[in-house]
Amino acid sequence: MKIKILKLSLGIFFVFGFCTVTSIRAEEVLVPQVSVVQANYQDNMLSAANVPASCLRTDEQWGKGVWVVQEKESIWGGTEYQAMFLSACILEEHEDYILVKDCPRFVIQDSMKPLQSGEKVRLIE
Amino acid sequence: MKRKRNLPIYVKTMCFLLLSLLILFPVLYSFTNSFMGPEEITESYSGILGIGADMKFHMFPDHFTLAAYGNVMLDTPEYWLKFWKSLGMAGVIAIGQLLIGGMGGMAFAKYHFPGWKLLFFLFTVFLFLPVQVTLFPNFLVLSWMNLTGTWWALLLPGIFSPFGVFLMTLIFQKIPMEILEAARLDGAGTLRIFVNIMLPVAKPGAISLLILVFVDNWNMVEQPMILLQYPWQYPLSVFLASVNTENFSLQFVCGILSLVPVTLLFLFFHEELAEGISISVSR
Repeated sequence: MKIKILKLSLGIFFVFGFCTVTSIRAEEVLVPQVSVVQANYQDNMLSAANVPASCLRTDEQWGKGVWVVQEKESIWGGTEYQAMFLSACILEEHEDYILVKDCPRFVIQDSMKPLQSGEKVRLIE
Repeated sequence: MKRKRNLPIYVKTMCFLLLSLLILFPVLYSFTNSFMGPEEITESYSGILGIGADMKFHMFPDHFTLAAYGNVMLDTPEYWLKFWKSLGMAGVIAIGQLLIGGMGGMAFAKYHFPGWKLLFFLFTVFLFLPVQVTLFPNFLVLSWMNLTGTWWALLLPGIFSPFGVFLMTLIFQKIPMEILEAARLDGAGTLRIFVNIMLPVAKPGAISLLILVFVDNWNMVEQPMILLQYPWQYPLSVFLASVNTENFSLQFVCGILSLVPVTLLFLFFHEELAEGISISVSR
């Protein structure tokens, strides 16, 4: 009986170990890494901000805008980051920078993969 | 005649079955509800979630799904990282307490040094103090040692708990002195006697101590909340209460998975556990 329970325990813990490795690897592979810049707010209301011109993107459906990162409390207790496309938010376009209204703190400058709105992302430090 | 003799057995069996069902009901309920989808769960617990008027008793899922298990086990490593950390912590505390408690217990049981009775009495008194009473002194000592906010704050008080010393003393007192004397005549030192003679002879007691300490620390709640600084440091036992309050099926899955190590440990060692406890309480 003990041998059976030992085999069962080893089997269960092997599955748990497999799930751990798989979930870590899945997160590494599936969650896109993005490099971000911090928005440089122009006023105290934290609404209009300067961001580098390289952040400007043109989406076929939504037009011109920027990809931003929204912080959200994860279901597991920590902080989770989600990519969101902000359209119709460009106030001014300059050669070096653009002026964006209602801009969150982090703006995505570059991404390893094409992003989808609401998708979980990892920030590159 | 035969029927008369069997009737009380049926009654007893029924009584024990009902009692077992009553005790196991929360686990069974969590287990069956963990196979529900988010929509079904939301519908069943709309009263608690604040989006409906009442809460239905809903034991078995209408649509069986393993989605919640997939969510917890494969979508993100967060649960597993906490699971393995908690398992390691409870294991280290259990083994540490066995070693420290075993050595202390051997000293109390076999080396009657001056004042051992007073010291053992103090250990017994500390044993009966609830966790909440010793939590603040522990916090002060660990603050002086700059260990609050680290996992050492959970490991050290756990390893040096008086419970291990107390239980191992009771168990070692049952081992005859003649065995020790014979080992000493054969040239064994104190450490060799402890490792090669005392621990193997007291194996059921040592295993029961391991299991009791493991379960106690696997389920610890107050200590991490006071002694650790950030919620992300919390072990699984504290984390379970805060896991997604919108999707109860995830909570049920996390609860069921957290039962696995303790259940397996009990199934594997239940004979030793019963034997160890009966040895320690017998005269």
